Amino acid sequence: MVALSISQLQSCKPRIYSFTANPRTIGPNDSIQVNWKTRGMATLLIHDRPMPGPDTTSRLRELTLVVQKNGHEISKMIQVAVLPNGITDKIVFKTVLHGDTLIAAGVNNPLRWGDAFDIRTVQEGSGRSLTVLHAGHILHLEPSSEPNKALLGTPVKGNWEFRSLLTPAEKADHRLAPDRLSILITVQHH
Amino acid sequence: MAIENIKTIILLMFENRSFDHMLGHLSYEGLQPNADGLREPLQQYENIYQGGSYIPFSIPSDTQLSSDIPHEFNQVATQLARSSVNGKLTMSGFVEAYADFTQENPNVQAEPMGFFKSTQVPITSFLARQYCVCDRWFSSLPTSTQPNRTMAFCGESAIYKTGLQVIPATGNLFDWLNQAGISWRVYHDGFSFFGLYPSLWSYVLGSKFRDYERLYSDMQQGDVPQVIIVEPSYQDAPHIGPDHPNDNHAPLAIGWGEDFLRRTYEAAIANPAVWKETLMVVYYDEHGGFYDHVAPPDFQSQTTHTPPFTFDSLGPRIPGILISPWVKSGSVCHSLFDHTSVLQFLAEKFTPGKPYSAAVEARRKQTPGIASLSAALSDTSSLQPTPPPAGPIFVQSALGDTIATPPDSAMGQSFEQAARQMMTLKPKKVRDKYPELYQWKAAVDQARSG
Repeated sequence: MVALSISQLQSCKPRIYSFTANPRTIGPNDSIQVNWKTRGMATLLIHDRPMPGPDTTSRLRELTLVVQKNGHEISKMIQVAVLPNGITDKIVFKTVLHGDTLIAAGVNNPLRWGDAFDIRTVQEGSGRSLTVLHAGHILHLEPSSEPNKALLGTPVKGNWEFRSLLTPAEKADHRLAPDRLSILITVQHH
Repeated sequence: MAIENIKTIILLMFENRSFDHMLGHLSYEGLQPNADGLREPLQQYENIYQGGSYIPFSIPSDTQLSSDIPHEFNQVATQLARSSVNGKLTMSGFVEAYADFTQENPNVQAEPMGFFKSTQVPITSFLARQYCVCDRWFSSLPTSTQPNRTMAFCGESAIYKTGLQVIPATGNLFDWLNQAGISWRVYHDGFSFFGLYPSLWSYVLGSKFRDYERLYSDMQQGDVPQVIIVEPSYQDAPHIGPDHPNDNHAPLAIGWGEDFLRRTYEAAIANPAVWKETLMVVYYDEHGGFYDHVAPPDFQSQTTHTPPFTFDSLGPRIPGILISPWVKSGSVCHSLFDHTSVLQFLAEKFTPGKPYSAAVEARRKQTPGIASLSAALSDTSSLQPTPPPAGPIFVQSALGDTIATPPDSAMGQSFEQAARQMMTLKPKKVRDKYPELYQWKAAVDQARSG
């Protein structure tokens, strides 16, 4: 009887079929669209806390879907970043080698960034000269130079490409070459 | 020599956690600065996914995860992320493997990047600080459970990934111990992992496999063999009633395993006369998909299958703790260990001058070579054991969680197939050894019949 009662409960335990939140990065006054499909009674818990790390102005909004049925409970959590204007972030891709040029390219996560954020400035982030290709623009960034506004208003999401020539030492020994290239960005909300 | 003073060796292998995930806090919190765990700034451990940078984070609370974390061979290759430019393992693909596996956009704090604070793993942290923590213990192969456990208890593997398959047990520890005339016993808390090896069923159903509940009493009374293997209750194994897995396999909360570790340590120190000659080894089969920052060294391994499958590195680091009066209290061992270090040590101890096997010896002779656990021992004994923290450990509970639907993992399917075949082919012995399986089978068949 014990086994039967447990198995009967199990056949009706809660389940989360889907749970989505969009966008995953917002400004302080933006809305988030949250959808879910569950078996069982669903409750959405919302909790804000500071973003971990040195930046004290950004926050993490945690959306936790708790589903209960027949005494069982399951949950799933999605984090949404709440960013103020002018916040600094990073775009980074792994490198491949084409001749003597390191290329780091890819799509900056459109689900993470959505449509609400543009570039304000870009700055070199790997300690070496970079050529940056993005949204039809090409620009050169030098280490330790001031933030560059050439990409002002272009989307944060989407295709990016960084190029950098190998140094003489790296040419002689590829083990010295970096496995990633990055830029620092400041973003603006619109 | 310390090795001569050790008469009893206890092996406890948990499931699926990386060194940084469980013990990265040792250096991060300044509790054991010599251990190669995590340190500020955590940005130095960045993982990359679709242009984004993902950083290790302190797990807010110990809860059941929403899913397992990927750790099969191809996924481990993604996690290790060998650079096509400089040839190095960059350890930067854990989030990418997780996103591919879940088919979901990862959180800023993606689950593979989480690490526990000392207060969340109080027993593991206590033992690591009280005895000897090994910070260069890598899983033998950069792949999943079945090949790594086979390496741990056979010294070689015919398989390169986990699946619903017959796993050969060539070179197994039990045969070796018998041939060497060494007494041994397995204490299993639930269905034994060795049930997945049909060639080992005579052992699994024999008198040397005992219920875990007897361990403390046996130790207390001095009824102690030379080698003891302690098995937790596996997440993927059949379960019924209040029996709850405690092997630390994700998505389990970690508290169950912490309590099991506490109980096993309490058994190890229960009898002072036994304790003063004991070495207890706590280790994990593999990293379970959780981030670790130390790249495994390049290392050539092949399966014994024809044609062989070749690995070019060890697997990610796992937590390894040596608990004994014959290790220096509060020490860190940096020697290169993998699971065959245990087998190497057993041979060093019980058959001096004669290696465990040619395969294990070949791993010792490679460059870099796998060391024996004896590298961590100390000739100076500290005989008084320290009791473990006695505070409560809070965990979630849900009875009968694996009854209603068939397992979707290869490990779960393997366990169920082994249990069912064993019940069909060896019904009398199974009824004596694993009586709970009959109620489990009835409940499963009833639940799934509709």
